Amino acid sequence: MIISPDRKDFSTIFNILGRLILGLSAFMLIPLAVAFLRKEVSPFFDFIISFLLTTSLGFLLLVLFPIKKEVSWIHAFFSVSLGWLIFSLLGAIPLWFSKHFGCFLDAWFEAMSGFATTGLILIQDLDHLSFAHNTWRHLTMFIGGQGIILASLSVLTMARPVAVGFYIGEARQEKIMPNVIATARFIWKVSFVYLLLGVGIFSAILIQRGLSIEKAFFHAFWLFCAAFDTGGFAPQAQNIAYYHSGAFEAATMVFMFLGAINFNLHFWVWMKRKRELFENFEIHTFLFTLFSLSILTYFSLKGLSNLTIFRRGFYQLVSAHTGCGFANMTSLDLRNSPPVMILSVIFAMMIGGGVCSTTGAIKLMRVGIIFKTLIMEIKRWMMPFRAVFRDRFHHLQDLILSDKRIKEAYVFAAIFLLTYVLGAVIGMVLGYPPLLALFESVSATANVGLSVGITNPAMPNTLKVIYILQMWCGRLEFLSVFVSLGFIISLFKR
Amino acid sequence: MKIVRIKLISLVIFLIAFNLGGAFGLYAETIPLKKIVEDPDDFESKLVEVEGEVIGEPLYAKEGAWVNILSKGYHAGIVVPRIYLDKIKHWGGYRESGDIAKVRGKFYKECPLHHEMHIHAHTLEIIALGAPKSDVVLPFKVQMAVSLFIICLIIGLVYFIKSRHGTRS
Repeated sequence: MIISPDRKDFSTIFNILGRLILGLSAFMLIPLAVAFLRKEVSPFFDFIISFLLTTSLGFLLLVLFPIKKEVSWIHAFFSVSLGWLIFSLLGAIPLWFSKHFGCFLDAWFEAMSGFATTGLILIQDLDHLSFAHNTWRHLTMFIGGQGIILASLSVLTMARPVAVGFYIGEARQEKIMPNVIATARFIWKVSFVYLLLGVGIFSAILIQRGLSIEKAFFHAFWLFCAAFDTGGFAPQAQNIAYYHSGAFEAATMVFMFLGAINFNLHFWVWMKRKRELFENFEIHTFLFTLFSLSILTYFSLKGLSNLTIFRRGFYQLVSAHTGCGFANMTSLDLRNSPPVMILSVIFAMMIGGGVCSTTGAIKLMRVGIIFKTLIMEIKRWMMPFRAVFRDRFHHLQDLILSDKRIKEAYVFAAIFLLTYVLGAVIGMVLGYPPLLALFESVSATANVGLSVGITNPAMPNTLKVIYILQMWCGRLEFLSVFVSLGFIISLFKR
Repeated sequence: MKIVRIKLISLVIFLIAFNLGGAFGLYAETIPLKKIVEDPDDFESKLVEVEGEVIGEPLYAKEGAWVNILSKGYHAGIVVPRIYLDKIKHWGGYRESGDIAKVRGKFYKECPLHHEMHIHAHTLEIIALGAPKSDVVLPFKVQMAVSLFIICLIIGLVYFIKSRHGTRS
């Protein structure tokens, strides 16, 4: 029997959304403070308006829609899927006020790209954007990467019984601690430690390159948010290429890796067993796929110097595999790269990072399971007819490759692949070459942000909306979106 | 002996001409940055002259400094001797538009030294000064902020009164 939501359910959902929107408005105080401290007058008013509008909406929802039912999974899934749409719309308001966007749709695209930690951009004249707006752009990635709901979850007490619903709704499959609230708080603690570390390292490199302390700090903070939360925004239009520094690129690679690693693995390495890092199934899968794709990239760029191959090929590959989307070459350059390199980057984007990390895409665990299942099938055919064979893998503990896990891996991989292809077909219908359309579609769905130039302010509005939907669904791994759609459809079937 | 002397003199004349060439027309006319970025192979290791707004800040390196220029949405990194940095008074950003610089130098698609696409500048001159940008608030934004402040205050008060005295179902 399918549960169909009633009026009381919707009242409860809007009440939860009101609370979450108030949480979002609190985050807007950060760019507001930046605008105030840096005396950026117009941006200050942009953020005052956005903050007041968001706060008013939050309070209005709380006043109009009281909690009428005990919070359950329906409410969690609905709140997550609707929440991300509403947050991106509200988050787009200050961006739109900045006058750096052709229309509100472009600003919404940028905000969704930020919250979904994608990194595709439609902003114009980025090099002249204020510090406050840049802070907000990068903050959206930090909030989105850590999980907006997760952020609120650590302070929201009334949703404790179904906290796990919110948690799974935001595409996180594994709890780190027995309690989800404690898990959320642990993720935030880990992130803040890395934040201090990242900002320190990036600042040091940038100060050494001649930036003032203030500028170096801001650039370091923004780029940390983009690297660790695998977002890919940068404060300058040239992205990472602006800094012209191999050392800086190497430093960003370290934080891209850290962001793409399962938070559970961070917990184990920090608190329990360091050796887990070398024994973990996801890490093995990551090294295998990265190594294989690196070989392809190396041969596709053969003839260039090793350092050039490292910076042109390997950096883009790591950026794609970790779902970050930092680029040290222009989209035109990427488009003109050898087809084998473009294909390698597409495959890397399709795979993504670890489950329970800030990346999108199919994810390492599922790709690893699919590989292992194939090997298991081959072995099975080579064994006696009556033999019973079950393969194992190590992820924090030895696990059996059960049918449930295999089914889950195949279902998610199939949904992702279907969405990649669907987006590519729409791109092709709109007149883009197949390989480039596939590249951009994968980049949007897998929340990567690398671009071969299709994503620009002049692209058709239809494609902008399609990419917004792909980023949204990809970030939430379809589950909460599909469940919410299912509940809405059930309303009409009553 | 005479032939050797002639060869030597020719070589010296050639070298002088090459070095002065930058100032006397060995460079092609100013090339739009777009053309270079879109067809880098056509300009590989050639002397080019480009113009663009200086953006961001100088980024120091061993061999000088990196300067990024922007022209009609296209960017290029330029390696310049540090001495040229004094010429640049305005760096493009939120507060000001940057100086427009004319750069003459050698373009590399894959520089053997820096391993990236850029121009090694031989000369840099400022052809137009940048200027501070206005940071003015539009009146409607102020009115909107005041109105929203009042609305927010009222709704917030209603919420707090309701949550304090109202009943929860």
